Amino acid sequence: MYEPSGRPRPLSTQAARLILIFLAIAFVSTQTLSGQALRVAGASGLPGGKLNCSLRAEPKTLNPVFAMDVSSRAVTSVMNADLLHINRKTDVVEAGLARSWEVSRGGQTYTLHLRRGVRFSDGAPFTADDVLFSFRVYLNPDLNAPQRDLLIIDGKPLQVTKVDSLTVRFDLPRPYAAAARLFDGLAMLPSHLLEPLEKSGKLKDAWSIATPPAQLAGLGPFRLKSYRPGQAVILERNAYFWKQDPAGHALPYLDEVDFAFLANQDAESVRFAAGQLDLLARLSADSYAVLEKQAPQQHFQMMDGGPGLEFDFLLFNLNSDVAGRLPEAAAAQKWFSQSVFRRALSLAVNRDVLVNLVFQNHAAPLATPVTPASQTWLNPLAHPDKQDLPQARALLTSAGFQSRDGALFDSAGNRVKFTILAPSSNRQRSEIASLLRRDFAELGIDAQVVSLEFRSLLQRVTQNHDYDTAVMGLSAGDTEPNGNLSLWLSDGSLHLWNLGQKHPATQWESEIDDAMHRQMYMTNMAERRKTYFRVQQIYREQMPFLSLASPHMLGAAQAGLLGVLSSALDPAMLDNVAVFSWKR
Amino acid sequence: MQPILAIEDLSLVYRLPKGRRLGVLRRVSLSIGAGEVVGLLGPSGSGKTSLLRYILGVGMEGSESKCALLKFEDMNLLAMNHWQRHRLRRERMGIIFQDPTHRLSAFRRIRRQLEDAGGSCSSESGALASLERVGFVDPGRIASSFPYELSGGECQRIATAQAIAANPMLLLADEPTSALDTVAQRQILDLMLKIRRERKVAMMVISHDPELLRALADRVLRLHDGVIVGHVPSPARSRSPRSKPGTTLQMTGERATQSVLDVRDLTLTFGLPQPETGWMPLPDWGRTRKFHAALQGVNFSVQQGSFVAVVGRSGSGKSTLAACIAGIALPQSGEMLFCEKPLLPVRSQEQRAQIQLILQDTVGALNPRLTVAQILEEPLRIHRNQLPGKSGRRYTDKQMQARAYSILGDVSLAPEYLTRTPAQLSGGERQRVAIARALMLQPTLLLLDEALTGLDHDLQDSILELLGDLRRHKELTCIHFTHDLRRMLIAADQIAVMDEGLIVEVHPAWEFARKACHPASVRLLDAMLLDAEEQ
Amino acid sequence: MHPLARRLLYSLVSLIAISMLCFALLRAAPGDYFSELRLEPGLSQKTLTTMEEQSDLSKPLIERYALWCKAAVRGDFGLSLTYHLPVVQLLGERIANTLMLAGLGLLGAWILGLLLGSVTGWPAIAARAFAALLWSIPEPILALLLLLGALRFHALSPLVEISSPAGSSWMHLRSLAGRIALPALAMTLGYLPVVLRHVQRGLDAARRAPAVEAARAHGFTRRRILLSYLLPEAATPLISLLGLGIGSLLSASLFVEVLFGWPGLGQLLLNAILARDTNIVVAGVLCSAVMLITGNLFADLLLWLHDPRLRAVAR
Repeated sequence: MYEPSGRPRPLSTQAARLILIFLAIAFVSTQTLSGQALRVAGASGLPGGKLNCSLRAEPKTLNPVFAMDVSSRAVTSVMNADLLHINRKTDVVEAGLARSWEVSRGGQTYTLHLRRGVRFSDGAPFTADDVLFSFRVYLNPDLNAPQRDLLIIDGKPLQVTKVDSLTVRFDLPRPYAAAARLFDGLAMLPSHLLEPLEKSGKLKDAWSIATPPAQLAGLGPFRLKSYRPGQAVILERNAYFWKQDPAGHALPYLDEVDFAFLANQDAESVRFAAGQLDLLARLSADSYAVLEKQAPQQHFQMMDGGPGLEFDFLLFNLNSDVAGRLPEAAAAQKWFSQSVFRRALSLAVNRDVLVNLVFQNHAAPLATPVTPASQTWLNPLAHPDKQDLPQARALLTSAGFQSRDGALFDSAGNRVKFTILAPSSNRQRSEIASLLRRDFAELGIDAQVVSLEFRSLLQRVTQNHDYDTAVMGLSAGDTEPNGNLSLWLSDGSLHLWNLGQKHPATQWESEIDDAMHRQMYMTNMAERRKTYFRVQQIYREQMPFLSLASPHMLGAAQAGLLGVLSSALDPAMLDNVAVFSWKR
Repeated sequence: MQPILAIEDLSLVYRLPKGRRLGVLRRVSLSIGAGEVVGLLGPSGSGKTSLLRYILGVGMEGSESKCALLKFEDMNLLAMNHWQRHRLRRERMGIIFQDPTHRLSAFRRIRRQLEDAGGSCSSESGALASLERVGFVDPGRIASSFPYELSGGECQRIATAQAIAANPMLLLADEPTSALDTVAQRQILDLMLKIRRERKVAMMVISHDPELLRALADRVLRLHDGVIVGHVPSPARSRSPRSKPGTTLQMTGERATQSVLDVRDLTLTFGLPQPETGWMPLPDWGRTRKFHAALQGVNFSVQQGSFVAVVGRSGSGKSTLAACIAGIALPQSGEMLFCEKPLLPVRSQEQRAQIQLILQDTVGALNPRLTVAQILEEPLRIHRNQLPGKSGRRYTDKQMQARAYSILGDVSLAPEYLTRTPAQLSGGERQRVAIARALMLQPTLLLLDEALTGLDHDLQDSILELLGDLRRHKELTCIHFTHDLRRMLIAADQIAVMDEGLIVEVHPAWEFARKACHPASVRLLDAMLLDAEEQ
Repeated sequence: MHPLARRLLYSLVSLIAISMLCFALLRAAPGDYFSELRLEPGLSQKTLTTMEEQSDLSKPLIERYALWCKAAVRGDFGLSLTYHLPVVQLLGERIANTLMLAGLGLLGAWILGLLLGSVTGWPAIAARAFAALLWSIPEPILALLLLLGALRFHALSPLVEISSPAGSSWMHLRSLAGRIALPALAMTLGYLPVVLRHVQRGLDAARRAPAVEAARAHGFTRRRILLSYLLPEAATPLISLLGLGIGSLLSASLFVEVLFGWPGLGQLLLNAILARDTNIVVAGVLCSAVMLITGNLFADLLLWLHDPRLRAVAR
């Protein structure tokens, strides 16, 4: 309603207007401070408090470019941010440092619009130049950043162009199906701090665990406060963080995050029970079960995030360089090279018992290396094999194997026996090996378990190829098919059953190669799914290794900690650490 | 006379493992008057030391005692507690032990250890004065020394100084001289006589040396198997037990005519390279000294069936000569003929079997893991293809056992000893086993290198007697290398005196004292006669 | 040559031999630093190969050792493969912590051991039973039991030092004491049986020693007997044990450190061995060896001071 200006306004109205103006100014000022801050839907909490976490090992580096081990990744992921981010709950790519993006030229060009007013944790503004610098680092062949291989599509690196100070264009050599997901986890680096180091060739050694906090800056919710060698990394709230809750409060809520180094899981559980740790990620099923028993009295939040991306499997040695060089492995290979034999072994394995005994039911039996965490990409027709000994025996008989006095012999009259390598440091995989041995014994197969130190086992599997079978576990890099690329492709580094192939050794491997290459560049989702389903179907027919189980992502948090979410992708439980808060 | 110490009806039992008990003293009663010196005589194991320890109240762990009365001065020791007894020892009693070097702490200077004793020694000047009193001419040097730098005799004098520091009323001495050489023995005896003269202190002296007791004691008690078997008033001690077997030994000397061993121009210098014989070079024998001429041309011969004693002070080359004859050490030059056959440069297996050596150290000589039967059979097993006689026939296991059995009888050990191990034997028993082992091979020549030293006198006599029997029956020849001239004058046929690596004179034992003229012989005789004078 | 100079020369030779052995063993051990990276899904074979070529690991062992020696003489023990930091810096930050923990633990064990070991009668039998019990529990389990016990009685000290930038040194000391107590106790309990048994044995033998018996027979004062006769008699084996203890200061606490999250060498060395991080392992082993040599030298020096007979031999 309009009021004539001549009349004096009541004092209350004036006060109200003053308050309004004040609020408006306040709002504008926060707007200019945080520019176009990201409003995190559903976040609400009280600021303050401290989070105590643990790491099983000391981080090797604080440099997000070279962080390869779990500990370094956990710390750097909290200290850094990416342009686009995969929502861990929905598995959909969402805006991050880029507030929006456009795809053009049939999926070959991505134009990203950066948020205005974003600042690094040292207060320096974040602009397109930082993006350019970051990608120059990731793509630099001399630096060998582990992310580099992901950014090379069809043999050519993607092109990065600055359009203006807040717009960056990425040109892909080919339309790439999962291009938007590439940006997830690529930390944007402060060019003002790192460019001088890059120029002098010292980037590789930059941001070690001994670097003083003032020389580090990131875009993540927390920044380094101090590093205590051998003891802990202490992070403090990044006052310049660019996310807000719906009420407009700046995130993160927490003032401090401490990562203590504690190599022993039992000690970790004790500290958690004592309330000295607030959050446990990557719990083993055993520790989880122990804590679960105390949960009702202590009000722990026990978090079973369902299957992760790890798959445990029995690897057959199908390497072609074994013949002549390693007679024993070659003898076993005569059996392993028959897909019928491999399928029969798969039918002999009781995956339900395995899941129950080894993982206390906190795992999912697997049909293929694609775990249930990749819901969209899991072939609905591929069911995990149930133990079916009669059928397994029938398959073996059909392949010319004979059973005499409970022992299995091949058509040449040789007793079927081989060894199963298991890493001595990993109790669960050792247990899996002994369960497999028992299951195979049902078929009359004499399988011996051999425990080896992890690196010795790796050397045999990846370099010597001196083994019969091995129980191993791998983690896919992503929920979508490209996360398993190096496993499927016959020249991939994780094509463990037959490494170092110049050309696909078998017809079916070449068919998988072909399908995997095709799906990479498909933009039609349905078609891509169909192609990946076909790959899984070929796997089911050939069974080059036995997929066994995928352990759940297990974690625990103290009762008062709000906002904790367990996810399959890295960092396991800390992805939304910005919205963690303490209940009052 | 008011007794200073009175004991009535003392019985003492040691608890052994597995619930066994060993009675040591049985209903012992004795009393010692003020200023009286009582000697305590008895074979080893008769309970002498236990009695002394009981009076002191030290080292009685693992024992049970029953006593009707234990009175010292006017105090009832039985009613005293541990610390009162301790105080009593400090102020009223003194003790001299047998092994002086071990009884002083190795880590503490003598002056400190004297000061610890308190009494007149408690100041530095007092300590020095006390050293002078026990006969040291350079108390300053002694006081700043550590025990390892002193001889056994010096240590024993220091121990005596400690014992009398507080002017005790009772001085206990446990074999104060038996571990010392002749000269030191004399000094200690003199010292004790002087103490007795000057201080009017009551003493109880354990010894198996009758001469010492004779010189020192007012009366002598004899302890046997834990029972006091006789009070021998000192002037009436008529017969020393050693004189009896000696005469029988002496008679056997003249029969032999054939020469068993001829030694000519034997030299051995330590530090020089060993002659090239194809044998493994031996480690230094005796003390390691650079270029020490141990044998400098030794000549002597031994008749079959005779008992030759080679006497000399320590370091005169006795042990080296024994080692050369036994084949343990190789001389650099010279000749040795054994039954007219040369022993050098290499001796035959048969010659090895026929020359046997018995050493003083019986603990080291017997393998602790073997039983006595195994120890006795071992030489037969080693030499089995040459015995018995020269027929080449071999012993069966049965014969071997039978022989071990009979030899054990020869050395007066009961057959049940066959199953024991050296650890279960006393020193004398071990020495007898060592002799038995040497006799197993029916040797022609038996060498004893101080083999009787350290055994008590009764035992020495019985072993010498045994050797005499054996010489008569088995055509055995013995050479005894020893410093104990006194005993050898009686036991041996011939006495050869060794000095500075040479045999300086040889005389028949019966006229040795008359004929000996070499300074070394005279020294030995003098030391012996000085001992005798005290009697 | 002076005996001490000869000892030092031998020590130097053994250090060189140890460093050679370390290199050789790490080369001979299956797997290398890059083994685990081969399982990285995003890392191509080519990238791995270039990474390997860029590192020193591709050079021949002899050349690597020669290069290492050249640098080591100048005090540079190379860079860690994993941390991209000078090994000297990495170890230096942690050695003091390890020495503090192990030193405190061993000190505790010695004090307790000497106290418990010198009692007689039935308490001695109880102490011996206690030692046997402790000895039969593996150290990691003992440490874990301690952790659980502390949890039960709410006595767990905070895992991370409370951050007080302006905190007084007294506060700092208190928080340090709180954190070191439990791991040091674990060390103490782990090492106590060894000390206790040695002390008991040594004193038993010493009580029966002729010189001690003589001292009692002479009625020397109680304190004098204990200090000047009994203890010197018992000291010789104990001094050797002390030397060994000092020698193991750097290595004794590894498991305890890992379990209690103590910022010492333990975790670093453990991970370095697993990761085949040659430079860290070699430097760590050399540090331990130096410690061992120092400990032995120290013990010999003590023995030399203690026993006049040894001084006579050396003269």
